Amino acid sequence: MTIWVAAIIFIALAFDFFNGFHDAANSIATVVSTRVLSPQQAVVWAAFFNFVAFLVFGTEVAATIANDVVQPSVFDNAVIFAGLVGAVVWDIITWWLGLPTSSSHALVGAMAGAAVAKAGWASLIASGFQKIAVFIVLSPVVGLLLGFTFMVAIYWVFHRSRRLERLNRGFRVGQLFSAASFSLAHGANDAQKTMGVILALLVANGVLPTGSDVPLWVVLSAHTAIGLGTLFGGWRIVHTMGSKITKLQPAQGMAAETAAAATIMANTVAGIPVSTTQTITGAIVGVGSTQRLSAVRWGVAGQVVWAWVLTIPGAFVISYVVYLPFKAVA
Amino acid sequence: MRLGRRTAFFGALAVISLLLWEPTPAEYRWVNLFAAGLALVWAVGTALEDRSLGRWRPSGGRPRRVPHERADDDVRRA
Repeated sequence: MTIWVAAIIFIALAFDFFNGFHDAANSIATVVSTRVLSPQQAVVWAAFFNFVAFLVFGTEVAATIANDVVQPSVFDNAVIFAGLVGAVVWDIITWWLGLPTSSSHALVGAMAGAAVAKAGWASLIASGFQKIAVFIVLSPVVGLLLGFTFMVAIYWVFHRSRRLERLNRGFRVGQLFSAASFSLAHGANDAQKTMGVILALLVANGVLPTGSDVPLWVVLSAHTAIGLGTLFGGWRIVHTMGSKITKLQPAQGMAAETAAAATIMANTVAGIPVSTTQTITGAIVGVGSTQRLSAVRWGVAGQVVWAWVLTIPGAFVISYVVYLPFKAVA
Repeated sequence: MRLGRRTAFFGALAVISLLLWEPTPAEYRWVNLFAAGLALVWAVGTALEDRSLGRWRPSGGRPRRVPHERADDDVRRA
């Protein structure tokens, strides 16, 4: 393995680290806001479940990223490097603009942009791209509908209960499990995207034969990176926690996290890379809709729709431009 | 009967799920059906709720609170 390959693996793991860093708030916001856990405890809780996700889920999403988006023969060091840079730059731009964008979609768009710059549109695999594009829309919709359904179920089951103290304790304990399952789902789906990139890189360099499974060291390093990102990201957001958290009650937080976790886990098993941020946003909108539609922050929902429209083309263009100097040299 | 906003919202979600039927790979089309079915159930459910709220509305006053709204308040208090 050359230094060039090692450097690209490092960039891929850094992308994974920032994914965890950026998304830590999704995992711990509700448990902290309802004081089920302190911020420090919540961060460790989420990071732990991000890491252990590899024990529960396979590597189907990694295989999709490595084999089903771009023709594997097109991958080389420059394409993967340009793809990673395109995804990271897009993430930074949208973070700076405050758009709730998806690192996953940025990665897919950026890999496609670099591949098209190298080998034209024929380098893309239409069926893989189509699958990802459809679930960009379907995942938040399913999360929304499940969030609404779980919340209505909670109302139906508990609306006659008058033992509010006991009920509240139950929802707080339930939140521990829902936050854990969301972190598990997040770790599984997002870490596998990085695994897919590293797998493609190792195959392109002849370190692994075509069609190989993801090596264990890649699995462990990707989960470690996202777990550490969550750990450090969580610490950082402790200071801004008060102003940025959506005001959810324990029952609502539990319903939203459970709905999002179920949606992401189903996608992970099916090998579909989805946005964890957009899925939890959909679930929160669903939970909010049980009160009234005006209770939903539609501005945020609208931003999600813009992120759908812009992310893949935006990351595509950036990585396309990043690849051009490599093409000129070649 | 006037269509409530939530009914229209869930109806729109059902339509979106069905519009995505064609581009969805065949092995995943059950997701479209599941989402459209669930959205239709809630479109009908919220329409029925709106209708019952309309019936319960006392003349010239605010509509009475229905059970789920009382439960909502309980959860919020908890």
